[in-house]
Amino acid sequence: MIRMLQRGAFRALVGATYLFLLAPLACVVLVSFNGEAVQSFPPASWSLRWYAHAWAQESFRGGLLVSTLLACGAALIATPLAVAAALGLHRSRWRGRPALEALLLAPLVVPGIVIGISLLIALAALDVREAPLRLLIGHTVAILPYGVRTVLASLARLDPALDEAAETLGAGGWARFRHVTLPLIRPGILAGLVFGLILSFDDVSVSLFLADARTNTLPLAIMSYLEYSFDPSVAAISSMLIAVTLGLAVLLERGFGLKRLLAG
Amino acid sequence: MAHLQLDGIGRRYGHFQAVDSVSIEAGPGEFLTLLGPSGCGKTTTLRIVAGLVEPSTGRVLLDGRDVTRLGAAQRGIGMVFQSLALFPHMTVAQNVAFGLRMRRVAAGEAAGRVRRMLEVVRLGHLAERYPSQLSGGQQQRVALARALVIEPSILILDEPFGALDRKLREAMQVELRRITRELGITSLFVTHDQEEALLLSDLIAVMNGGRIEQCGTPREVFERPATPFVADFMGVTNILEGRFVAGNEAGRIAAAGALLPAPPGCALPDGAPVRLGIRPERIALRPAAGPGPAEGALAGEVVEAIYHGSNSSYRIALPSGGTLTAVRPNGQEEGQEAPLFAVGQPVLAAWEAGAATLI
Repeated sequence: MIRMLQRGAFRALVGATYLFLLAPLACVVLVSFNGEAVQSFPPASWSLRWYAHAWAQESFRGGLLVSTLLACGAALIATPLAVAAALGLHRSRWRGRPALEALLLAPLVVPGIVIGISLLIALAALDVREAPLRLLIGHTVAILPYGVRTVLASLARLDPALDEAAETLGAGGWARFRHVTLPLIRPGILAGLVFGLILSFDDVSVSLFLADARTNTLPLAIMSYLEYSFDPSVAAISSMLIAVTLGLAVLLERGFGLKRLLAG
Repeated sequence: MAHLQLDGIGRRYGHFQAVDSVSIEAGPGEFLTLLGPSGCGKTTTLRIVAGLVEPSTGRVLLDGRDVTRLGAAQRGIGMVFQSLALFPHMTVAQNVAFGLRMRRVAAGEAAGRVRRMLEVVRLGHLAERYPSQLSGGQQQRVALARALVIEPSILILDEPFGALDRKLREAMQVELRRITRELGITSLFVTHDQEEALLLSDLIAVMNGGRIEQCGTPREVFERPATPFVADFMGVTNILEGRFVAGNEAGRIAAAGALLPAPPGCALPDGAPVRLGIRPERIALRPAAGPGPAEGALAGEVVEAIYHGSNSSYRIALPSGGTLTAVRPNGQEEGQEAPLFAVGQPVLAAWEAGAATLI
């Protein structure tokens, strides 16, 4: 009897947690189909017009393109760098290794705003003025530690004897990396890549300082749109992002098993 | 088949001398075992032979060729690791084929060699499985096949059976012996298990504190341990310090307040200090008839009696201060029930002259 009560209470708690996490998303999706001119909940009438309206906004379309290119570019640059850095850290027996690791992981704990301001100052000093390049550098720096972390975690779980076994079997350094280490840390690399994509896509604080009037990311475009209008087109664009993210998650799960990736 | 020779190998880690001037040899086709407790330097020595650790001093010679500065990838040595180190993302066949792939052996020939090697280790039917789908003993055999398929000059094994349960370990030991004899390959084996070493080896080198204490055939090391450490490690746990007393025929040994028979064939000057070693299972016990010592036996008192089933072990305190350990079989013996002794009981411990060794 008590056990049944306990189980019931546990289920209720789990249910409440999911509700708390997912209810806002459900609200946004519902509101996006609102037919009225202001966001209201529950919607009084239904329509797809805000999707059309959102799509018609030049700033959203431009922002989506910039954000997508930026996320892909930054993730593709940061991931190989992260693999190289993690491999170096993992193999190093140098005394300064912990300090170097802390330095590489620092952007993880430094507030995004601070990274943004520092990059603004540093890039201005280096005379890098093109917003796309500044954004690409900024996002690469901001997402690098996530890649380093996930790759380091999967390296730590490798049996060091695997590398030695490959060596005694005649494999040189590159062959050992290519045939043994790389396949075994691939889940960690992919996890870092996916984290990087998502973090870059949804970053505001770093982009805020590095974007300019002609090159704006989607989150920044949404923010500036919200300053002047509060119509459901923002909800519409959010719903589209939710759909894309869900699709990506399903694809990853089908392809590699998302749980395994995140556990890495 | 190759001739392996270590010449004055040493390895320091900071102030710690892990391996200290080790010189040993294994002839073509011989099975050499490095035996010793953990931390005795046996694994470091093995890794130096494999090329995974560089020695601080000394040379490694294969068939007379100095390979000391050659990397592990160039040495052509087959190694079985303690953790086995099977590649988890490759099938059994791919694991075994790895070394051939690295040597750019043509795919057709490689497939044939992999198949034949899997037959040798009796795993032909599991070629397409992944290591995680195999039992411990099967994984062991994959590791062995992977090391052997490259036709290495020598095979080295780092405590490969440590993780197996007793029964499987024994089966694998027999299997390893069969395979190494069948292929006639020179082997270097590392273990802390003296029984395993005795069963497998042509030559045993007992190591302690980075040095070799004794190197010899299993019989030599077992029957004539050269140092107290080797004696203790080979199960000669009773060691008595005494003096040789010359006399009629074999002479006697004065130790622990008694005159004991000396092992046959020892010719020492009168009064020479000796150490007498006796295995626990060679000591016979009988109830002490009365007070005072008996001729050729040690009187003592049982201070610990442990029943193990087929035998019992007793610790016997000697009046001279030391203790002896005796292991006696239980149950029927020559129609008579073997006696059990109780704690506190006075007993006489004796052994045949030939059962003791001078160390």
